[in-house]
Formats: sequence, C-alpha cells, structure tokens
Amino acid sequence: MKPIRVLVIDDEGVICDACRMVLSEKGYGVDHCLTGTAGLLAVESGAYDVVLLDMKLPDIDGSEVLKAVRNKTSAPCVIVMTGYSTMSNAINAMKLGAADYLPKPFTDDELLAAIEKTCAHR
Amino acid sequence: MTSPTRFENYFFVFRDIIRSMHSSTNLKEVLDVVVTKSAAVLNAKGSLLRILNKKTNQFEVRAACGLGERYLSKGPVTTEKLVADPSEFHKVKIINDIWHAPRIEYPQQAWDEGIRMIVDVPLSIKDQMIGLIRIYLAQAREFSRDELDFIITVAEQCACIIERVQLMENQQAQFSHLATQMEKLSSLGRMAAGVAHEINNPLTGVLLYSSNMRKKVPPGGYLEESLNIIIRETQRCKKIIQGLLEFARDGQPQKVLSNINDVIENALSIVSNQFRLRFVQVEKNLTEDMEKTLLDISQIEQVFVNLLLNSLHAVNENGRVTVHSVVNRAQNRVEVEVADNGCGISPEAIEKIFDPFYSTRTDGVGLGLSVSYGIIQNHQGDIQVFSEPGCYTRFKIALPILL
Amino acid sequence: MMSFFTTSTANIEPPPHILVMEDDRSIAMGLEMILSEEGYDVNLANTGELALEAFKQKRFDLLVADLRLPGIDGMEVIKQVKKDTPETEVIVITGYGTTSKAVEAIKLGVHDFLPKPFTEDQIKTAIGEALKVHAKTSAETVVPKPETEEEKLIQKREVLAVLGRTAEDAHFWIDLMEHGSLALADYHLSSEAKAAIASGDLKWINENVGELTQKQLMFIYKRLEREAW
Repeated sequence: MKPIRVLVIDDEGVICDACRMVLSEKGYGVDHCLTGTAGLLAVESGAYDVVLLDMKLPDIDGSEVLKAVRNKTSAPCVIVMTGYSTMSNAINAMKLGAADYLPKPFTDDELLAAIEKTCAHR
Repeated sequence: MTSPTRFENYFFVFRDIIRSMHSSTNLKEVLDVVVTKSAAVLNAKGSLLRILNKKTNQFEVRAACGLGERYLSKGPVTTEKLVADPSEFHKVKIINDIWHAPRIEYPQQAWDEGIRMIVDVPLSIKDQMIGLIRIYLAQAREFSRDELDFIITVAEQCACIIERVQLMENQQAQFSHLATQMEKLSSLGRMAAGVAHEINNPLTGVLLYSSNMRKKVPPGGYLEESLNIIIRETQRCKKIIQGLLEFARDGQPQKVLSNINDVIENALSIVSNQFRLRFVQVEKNLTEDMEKTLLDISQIEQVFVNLLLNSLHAVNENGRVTVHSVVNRAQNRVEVEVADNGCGISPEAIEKIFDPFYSTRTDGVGLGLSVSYGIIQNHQGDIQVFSEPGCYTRFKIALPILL
Repeated sequence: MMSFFTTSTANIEPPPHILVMEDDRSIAMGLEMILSEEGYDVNLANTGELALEAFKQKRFDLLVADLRLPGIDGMEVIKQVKKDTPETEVIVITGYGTTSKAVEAIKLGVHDFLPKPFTEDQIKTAIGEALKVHAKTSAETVVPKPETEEEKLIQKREVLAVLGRTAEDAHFWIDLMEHGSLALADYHLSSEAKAAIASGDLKWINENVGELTQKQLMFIYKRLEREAW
C-alpha cells in the first residue's frame, strides 16, 4: 500500500527534522519546505496527503498558504502548527479549512495522533 | 482728558496682570508685567521678584526691572534672613536704613545704584512664604495707605498665580512619568508575547526529540526516567508561557462558576517555592462549605499570587502568613483574608497603596496591587487593607456570590 | 411565529427555525428578542436534555448552543444533533472558551464559535451566515427515490416522523396543509414522497410505508376531506 505522504512547512530546520524523524519511523513519507512559496510549489507538484503547516512563515502568512492549499482540487488535509496559540487564531484556522490545530510545543504522540485522526477522516 | 487717578492706575495694573496671565502660558511674562507695572505705579526706580526654589532653599530672581547688571549679578538672597519670622509673611516691610537692615545683603551696591529705600512685599500662600517682591526707590518717602494696600494686593494676586503654575508643572511632571512607565510596560507586554511565542519553537524541537527518544531507551531505567523529567519540565515551560501570554493579553474577564478555594490552592502552589526558600510558613484556613461564584480563574489567581508575594516580602525569616476563606451568607458573599505579621504599612503609605506605580520596594514596579484592585472591581467585589506598622497587615477581599 | 396564512398554495417560505440552548436566562431572553425581531422563529431550551427533546419534536435550521450547561454538556448535545440531523447548522456561544474546545467544535461541523461577551451585530452576522450556508446545502440535497432496503427504511422513518409531528405540532399541521411540500423542506424525502404526503395519497403511503393507525393517518384523512370540498 502506498505510504501516506506528509509535507512539513516550517521555517525552523530543527522542527522539520524532528517531525521527519518521528513520522518516518511510523512509515509516513516525509518532505519539508522552509518557506511558504516553496511549500506551495511542492504541494502543486507532489501528491501529498497531509500538510503540516506553521502559521508564521518568513515569506507569506500561514493563513494565505492554508487557503491556497485548500483551494486545490484533491487538496491535502492541513494540520496547522503555531507557537502563538489563541482562541481566535484557532477558530480562524479551522474555518479556513484546517483539519486540526496543534499548538507548539507538542510531543511525538500528539503529532502522530493528529496525523492519524486526520487521515482517518479523508 | 484728565490724567488717571491713583486708583485708576491701580486698576489698570491689576487688569494687565490678569490679562497677561490669561494670554500667556509663560510664567515669566506674567512676572515681568508684575515687576514693571508695580514699579511704575509706585514711582520706583526698579523692582525685583524672587521665588523660593524648594530644592536649593534659596530665593532666586525670576523677574527684574530698572536695576543694573552689577546689582542683579549679586546672586540670591538666603532664606534664613527672610523667613525667620513667620508673622512677617503677610506684611509689607519698609526699609529706610538699607545699611543696617539684616535682610539687605549688599547695601553698598544698592547705594551705588542710587537706591535709598527698599520695600519688601512677601508672596505668601497660607503659612508659607514662596517669594518676594522687592521695590527699590531712589528717594525715601512716605507710603500712603492705599499704596500699601495696592502692593499687597498685587503680591496676593501674584502668589496665587505662581502657586497655580507650580501645581500644573507638578501634575505635568507626574503625568509624564506615569506615561513613560505605562509605555515601558505595554511594550514589555508586547515583547513578552513575542518572546513567549519565540520560545515555543525551540521547545517543540526539544519535546519532539525527547518524547521520541523515550521510546527507544530501555524501559524503567535511568535514561527513561531522565527523559521523563525533560519532557515534564518542557511541558511545564509550555504552561508558564501560556500563563504569560494570557497575562499579556487584554484582561477581559472570562468568568466561570468556580470554587475560590481551588484558586487559592493554585496560587499557593505557584508561590510555594519562594516561601520555602525563605522559611516562611503559610497557614491556610479555607472553609469547607465554600459556595461557588463567577470568577475569572486566572485573574483571581493573579490577585492572590500578588498578595501572597507582598506578604512574603513583608515578613522576616520565620514570619507567618495566613489565608482564610469564609462564606458570608448574610451578605451573600465570599470573603478571603490574606494576613501577615510583617513590617506593616505606614498610615501615609496606606493611602496610596492601590495607586499604580506606588512601590516601597526598589525592585518593585508598583503595579501588583493596582491591577489586583482593578480585577476585584471587575468582579463587583472590594478589597480593603488594615495594618499596624511593625505588627501586621491584612488584606480583605469580598466577592459577591454571582451565578 | 406564523403570521399569515392564505388559502392559496403560494410559495411563502416559512421563517428559519432556531433553537437557543442556553441556561443563562438573561442571555436566552435577550437572544430570543433579538432573533424574533429579525423574523426568525425562536425556541428556547435551558438544558441539554430539553434541547434534545425539542429536536425530536421539530426540525431546526439552526442551533445556538452554550457549552456549559447543567446536566449534559453542550458539546455532547452538538455531537448528537450533528449525528441525527446533520443539516442543522450550529453556532457555539460560550463564556468558557478554550482553543481546544473551539477546534473540537469546528471539527464537529459547528459553523462558528463566538466567545462571550459578543455584540448584537456579531451574533446576527454569525447567524445570518450560518443560515445562508444551510439554505444552500438544503437546496442542493435532492433525495432520490429509495432503492436499497436502508433507504426505504429511512423513507419510512421520515414519513412517520412527519405524520407524528402533524399530530403534535399544530403549526406544522397548518404549514403542511397550506404549503404542501414546501413545509417538508427539511425532511430527507424524495419529491415523490413529499408530494404523496402533502396531497394525502393514501395509496402511496400504504404501498411504501405500510398500514398505519387512525391516529397516524389523521392528517391524511383531513387532507382528503379538503380535496373533496
């Protein structure tokens, strides 16, 4: 069976690597991008099932990336991560079509649970 | 046209002084009018106006007319000679003998200027002499009753004006100080939010790697235990940051029906470390039949943390702090008292204790109690303080039972 | 809030039905006032249990839900409502808002999450938007004629629900009598089924639903009587 492919979009290399380590151990295929533009390009080309998106990116606002990804045909599910979690941020992200909302910092189990739940609903 | 009478002249001077006060925001301009016009009306050679500088305790020249540079450069007159006798504060002093009058510092220079007589008119407000108008005459002469009345009235007017200006300057200074403090604090708040957010990112790396590693080490061993500690402490950081972010955010209370004893317990656990370090005990007496009421938990917790820390700093090692909660059913409210047997608060300080930026500690900003006061107000409650210096301090909070 | 009825079968849309599930009396009454003024038909429930009861009796376009309730938790009620009548839109109002609750609610399909205090404009806007979405999704769902056993069972259930309601809800009876199929907009029924009920097609009912009691068929008989007139 084809492995589920996850794209991590976060400007912090450490976080991208940590997510890759945790997810690939469980059999997910993982790629990462450090900017919003790179992320959008990647989503365009590859067939990703899930996108793990940081809301604060150096080039584009996370919510713009979220909107753009969700607008695509057969759009991947997007799980939003953020270091600055407020209720209104959460509501906005969910309304824009996020599948889940992960405030930083999170444990490996929390990350895996979010991905599993999201994929189950696809 | 007949030349104006003396009284008409007096009237014109008063009018000019008042007018200049209205049109000018500059005190100097008003004082200039006072000295020039009053000298003119009295046919004096010149006049000098001094105001007491409270910091240096000297009467400094603030306006002058008709006198030479050499005389003016002589410097201020010291206070003792002028304020020795308070009964003189509202009386005009006529000095005919300028050589032997104790309050005339430089008789030689005055004589050389052509001065033969000096009239001192004190500027006083209530029991304090705040300044002096000194009138210099080229000829000794008698002063009529109405001339004296005139000059006393000018002095009274002038004193009033000076007092008001000084008051305004004071307010202005206080206000700027407050504004700067507020600016500093609000930017601190914004900065805190930014910093908190920035810390969450590296924490993510730590938490992910450590939680992942924990699964790869032998279970039950030293490595697993150590990693558990790392994970736990990282999650504790997360909570602290969340608390900080909530504080930085604008405090619209989010009220939930809660038991205030639980909030008190939380506050106690937050400060427990600091209390332990200083060997101070907390005695808690929280009533078992507490009624729930609408509270913004984090805000009320803030209030108790503030009061407890204040108590902690008031007592010595081995001091005692007590927390007592009851339900006052007769008045339908919940009452909590935080008391200590510490240094207490002086009667003067107690007046200001809830004012923003009032602090008796060098490391304090002085906001804790004023913010607490605001929070209690937002809960329709009230907070009172009772204290005896050297003995005790008690803060009593009362919150209505709202559902 | 049914104001006028004409004997013609003109296309008068019934006003949206809103259930306000809120235990704070002042807020509940305030909302009732505001929403009635907007022309909505409003019912109140001050516990989760009462809200669920109300949903058994009546079809609601929108549920305005507080999360903190005595008895069942508001979130549980929302889960149940979304399961039974997924087309009902939900707006959460709460003084007890946390990020995770907000996320959980929206994952359940809640349309908006309004922390208290909110202004009149905020709630009106939120409700307006939710109802727009509701209207759109209702219009889009055309129910085909049932083929499978399960679909037939659903049809039977829906028809019985409609008939049961006519016995208990006078407003609904009148609505159905006057406006025919339009009154059945919220029901998961094919147009053929709706037409059958609305016109009192006893034969269709016997064929597709089965033999029913006199009580259940009261509406049908009355409808046929009207035809005879």
